[in-house]
Amino acid sequence: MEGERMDIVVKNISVSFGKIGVFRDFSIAFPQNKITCILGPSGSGKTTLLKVLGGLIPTEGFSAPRCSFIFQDHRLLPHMSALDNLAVVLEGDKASRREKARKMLADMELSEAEKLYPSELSGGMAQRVAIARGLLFDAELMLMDEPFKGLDLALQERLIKYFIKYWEEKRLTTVFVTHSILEAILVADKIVVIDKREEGAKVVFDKEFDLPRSQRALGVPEVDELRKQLHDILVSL
Amino acid sequence: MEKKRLIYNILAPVVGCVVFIALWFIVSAAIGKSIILPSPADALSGFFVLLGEGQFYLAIGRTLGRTLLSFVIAFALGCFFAFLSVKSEFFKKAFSPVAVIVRVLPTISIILLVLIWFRSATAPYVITFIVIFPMLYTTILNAAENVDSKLVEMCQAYHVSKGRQLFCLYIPGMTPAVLTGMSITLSFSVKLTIAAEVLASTQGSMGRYMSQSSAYIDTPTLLAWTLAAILLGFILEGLVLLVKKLLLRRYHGR
Repeated sequence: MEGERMDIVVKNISVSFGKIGVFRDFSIAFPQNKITCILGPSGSGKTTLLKVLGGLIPTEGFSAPRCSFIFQDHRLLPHMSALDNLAVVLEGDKASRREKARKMLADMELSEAEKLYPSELSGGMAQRVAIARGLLFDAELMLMDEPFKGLDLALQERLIKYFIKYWEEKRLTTVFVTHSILEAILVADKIVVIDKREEGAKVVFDKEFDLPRSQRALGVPEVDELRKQLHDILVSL
Repeated sequence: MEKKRLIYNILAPVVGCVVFIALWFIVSAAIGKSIILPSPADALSGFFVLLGEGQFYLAIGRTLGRTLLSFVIAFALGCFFAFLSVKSEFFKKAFSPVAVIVRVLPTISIILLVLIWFRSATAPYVITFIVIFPMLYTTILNAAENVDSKLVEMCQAYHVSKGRQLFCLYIPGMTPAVLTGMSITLSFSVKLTIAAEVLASTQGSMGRYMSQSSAYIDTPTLLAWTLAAILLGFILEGLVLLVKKLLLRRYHGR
């Protein structure tokens, strides 16, 4: 299946809110089975781009693929257990949906959360359930909007490792929006920086990063060099 | 903790009732005329007399039936119109003046107008419906609009069907606010139906009997009917709150 997936290509899209044009003839491609991280200043259109990709903002000239979405907040339905929160996004009869959800939770070491409600889960646990939901959903593209923002550093690191571990099994084409350079370096196969311009958002940096993820850490020359490069670009915007 | 809850939930309301009855007793003793203000004991004995009469139960049944039927129709239409308002901003804007006018219209004007247009048996249904429909519509619409838009967006992103969104997001999310509104509106409906029955002089109704007691200056019986009306409203409100409690428990699996 993986080999059959195509790159996700956005070509010449234009999006505006009232008189404010966020994108004008904007094009970008997301390589299949890879994680593309998007960095950029606030208001550069990162979240808007995710919404376009996910079909939440209908856009002329782009037909949204089937997407799973991991948001900044977990967005679990408050009146349903973790199990049912996964089952609700699946198709088929209730028993089979629950069975698939139960298996996913077990595979992702979340069996203990199965019967718990979102209010009973810790922040980290709730976000893990949201990641499980995103990976379980049968999608061509996975969209992540700063999913680890606002969590403490140790938890952030644990969740990134957790996400990568399970993402590797499925290798779903992923677009990951973040403000954190380090997060992007740890996660990405490709890093893109977009900037807000008067004529609409523009890609100002686009680089593949193929250092194995297991080797990525502070102090590794390639990581430090890329980190500095990204830092210089982002402070100049 | 348990002791504190007991004091607040049971002892405090009992103290309130005792103080109220004591004041009633003192004032009635001071007036000294049962025809103006009977003592609580007179009212209670009048109530027990009513309990022994078949017409009492029939009258309560009829008034309750009118209240519930008007309420169910108003609730069903309130849901339907709130649904249309959520779906269409145009409909919501177009309907808002109607809802506001009906809401602020003096109840007595509604009653008097309806009494001209409808027969005395039908008038209480119509009056109760007209008064409570905009209240229920507004409650349901507000509850629907207060459903977390981020969760709605999540459901759209994951292609969760409309039916599943209704049962998994909207209904559980709206239940507390709607049921609270329902409990208030339902006890208000009892009062309205009885007032309408009094003015329409509806045959065999609680309102008719109350009106007759008033005409004969039979104050203890009038108070006994009033006590029955209070109990009716209290039971209906309590039942809705019980349903709310059970549903919330179900939605949280406890």
